Amino acid sequence: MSGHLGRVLQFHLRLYQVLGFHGLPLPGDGNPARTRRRLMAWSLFLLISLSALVLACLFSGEEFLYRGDMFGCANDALKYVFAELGVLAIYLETLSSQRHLANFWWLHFKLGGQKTGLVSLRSEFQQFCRYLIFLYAMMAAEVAIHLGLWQFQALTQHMLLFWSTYEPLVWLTYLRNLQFVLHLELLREQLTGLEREMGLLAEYSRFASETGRSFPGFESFLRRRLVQKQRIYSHVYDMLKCFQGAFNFSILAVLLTINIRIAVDCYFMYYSIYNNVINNDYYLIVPALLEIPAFIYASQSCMVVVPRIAHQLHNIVTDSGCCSCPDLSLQIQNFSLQLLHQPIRIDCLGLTILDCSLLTRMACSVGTYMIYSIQFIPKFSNTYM
Amino acid sequence: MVAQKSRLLARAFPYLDIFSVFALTPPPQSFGHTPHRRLRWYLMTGYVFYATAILATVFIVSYFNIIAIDEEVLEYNVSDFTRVMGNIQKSLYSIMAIANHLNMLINYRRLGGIYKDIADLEMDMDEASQCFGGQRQRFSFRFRMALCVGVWMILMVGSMPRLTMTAMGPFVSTLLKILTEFVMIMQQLKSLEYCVFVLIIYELVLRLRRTLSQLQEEFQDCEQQDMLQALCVALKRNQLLLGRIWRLEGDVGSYFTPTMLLLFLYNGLTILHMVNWAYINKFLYDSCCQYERFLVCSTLLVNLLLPCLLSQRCINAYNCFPRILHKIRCTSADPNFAMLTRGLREYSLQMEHLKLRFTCGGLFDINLKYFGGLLVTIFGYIIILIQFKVQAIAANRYKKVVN
Repeated sequence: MSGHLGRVLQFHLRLYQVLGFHGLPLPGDGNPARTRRRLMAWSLFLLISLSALVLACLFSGEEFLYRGDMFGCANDALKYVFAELGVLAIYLETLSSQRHLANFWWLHFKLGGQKTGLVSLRSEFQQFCRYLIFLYAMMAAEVAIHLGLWQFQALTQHMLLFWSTYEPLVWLTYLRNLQFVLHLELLREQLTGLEREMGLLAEYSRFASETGRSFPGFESFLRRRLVQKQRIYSHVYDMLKCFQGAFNFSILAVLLTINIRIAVDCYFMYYSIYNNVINNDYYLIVPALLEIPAFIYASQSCMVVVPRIAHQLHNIVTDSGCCSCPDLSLQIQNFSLQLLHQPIRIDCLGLTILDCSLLTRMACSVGTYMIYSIQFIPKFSNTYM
Repeated sequence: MVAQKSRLLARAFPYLDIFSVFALTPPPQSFGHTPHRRLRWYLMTGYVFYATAILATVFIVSYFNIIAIDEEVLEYNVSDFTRVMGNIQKSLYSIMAIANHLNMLINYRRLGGIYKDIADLEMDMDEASQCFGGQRQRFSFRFRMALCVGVWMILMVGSMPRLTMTAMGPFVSTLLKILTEFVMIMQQLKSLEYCVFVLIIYELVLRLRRTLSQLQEEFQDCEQQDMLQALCVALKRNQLLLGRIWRLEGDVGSYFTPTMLLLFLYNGLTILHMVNWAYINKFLYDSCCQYERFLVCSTLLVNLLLPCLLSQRCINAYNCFPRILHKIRCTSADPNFAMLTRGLREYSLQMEHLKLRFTCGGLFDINLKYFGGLLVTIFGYIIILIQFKVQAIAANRYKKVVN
């Protein structure tokens, strides 16, 4: 891997290497091939050990699962099973999609290679402020709720065993989700930079057409700049394809894991309230409730930039009262058709577009099933009495 | 003042003044430059205190209504889902007021930018249409504004207190009832504020479409190269103005996202809540306020239908532009003029990219298709709730008969 990373990005990629999510060496690593093999071995080791942990929790005689009634037991088992599916998808995809991820970072360095100067730490924080807010707010919320929770609720044997084994799986899911957000933020940065530069080109052409002042060869200058922007957009689109190739299955698995955990915990929360069982650990779904909107918000922020790029492209003035630029107009049409043929569309395996309307549909379905479950609970208790 | 530059905004300002009295939007006079800076600062400070007082009133109303509904649920013994739904509905009073006040505070500059964009667009459109005899002075915008916003505002403000005062029941005091009416009307007027902005965008789209139609008529009769070139420049100008309208719509949508989202949620939940209480009263042999409840539900639905309808009409007017472009190509006196061909292609490609879409932050679109989906969802929830309610009540009666 060539190029230069900022310190914030370097630190967080190092973090993902330690977690086994990023199987590539960073720039400046000596002996990249050996580093890559070691990282893949580490990912495989984590996969095997975590799977063994989940199997031990499911089938051992200890109180990892709730033994009070069958419903609580099934609830806990369901959480373990889906967390295990998430972990399997994460690590298998890390091991099998190295080429896509390497291409993503190669394209990122190719596009970002113009920034040769050392970027200050403050501007790096500004650049990644969305990602950093999501990451550290999630961490702080999870730690704070855990610390606050066990002050008010007795730490039983079951609670200790369950949360000490389930919580690492939860953290892996969250951190993988925020790795997606990091890559989407890099994509969005490229797209918004392209939008700003297109805006400048449009401003130049409007000024030239209104005042009539332009240098000889202005049209070919604009055309060359436009060709350059087309190449940049092509690279950004390739980055998107590499992102989807690298993360398709784990995006689906992580979203499903978090969503099913939320649905199951909402159901169990009402069950606990109705049976007057003191059980406050459903507050722990609050960080989970923020994870899916964080990813979908990052995804939607990428997708809404392309119409703005097209808007700035068509703001370029090609004809004025005194002269006309047929070649520039043809170039604008070519770029416009390229934008139509290469849409920035972030989906998981083509099942659904990851935009905010997915949130609406999720909320509606969870609400519907909550109403079903709330209305059925009294009949269950009547039947069992 | 911005109104001196824009006739559209001058006609919209009376409605915006009414909305600012209800603390829904900053007073429109506060934007723009005025020589009396000190006086304006004093007036803005007074308005901030006024808005804060209204916010406190909403908190008081929300709190006492939650207490009242808890007492009512205990008396009628219907605590399975009614209490949860009622408490959420009353809490949404406060949540909506907080969201609206934060929106006024955070997006004050954006709203000023929206006003300035509207004024600039109108001025540029008037300038672009001078070579076609200018915009004819018409009163259709004022009439449409009065019909959609003014008449419905009068109807709603006049009828809502009459319909809901009795249904509040004996658990709320008279003074609190009056305050609750004020809060409910305040929140429903947010929909009309959105309609004002949609109507302004609609008027801009209609004017631009009229200019494009006039261009089409000019292209039919023109064969001179110089005149054709001037018409192509006018076509490009039309295209740029349409792009700016698209951008303005994005800003308006971003400004209204949190408040319209909460309004749709509140109205949908209130309809469910009222249908639930209608069934409770019907099965308890207390046929209080059933016609009033039906009329209130209809009012809330119309209040959601109005922005969806206006947005749909605006989208339909926007989607007429490609048809006019193809007419220009087919009916032009010189269809092979290279500059015209390039201009039409660029315009068509821009229409393909910049689709007009009134959306609430991407969560849902505000148009008739979404309104139909909303109705289906509400009816689905009503059927679910009623089925379970009927079953529970029948089970209770069976127990009484057996005992």
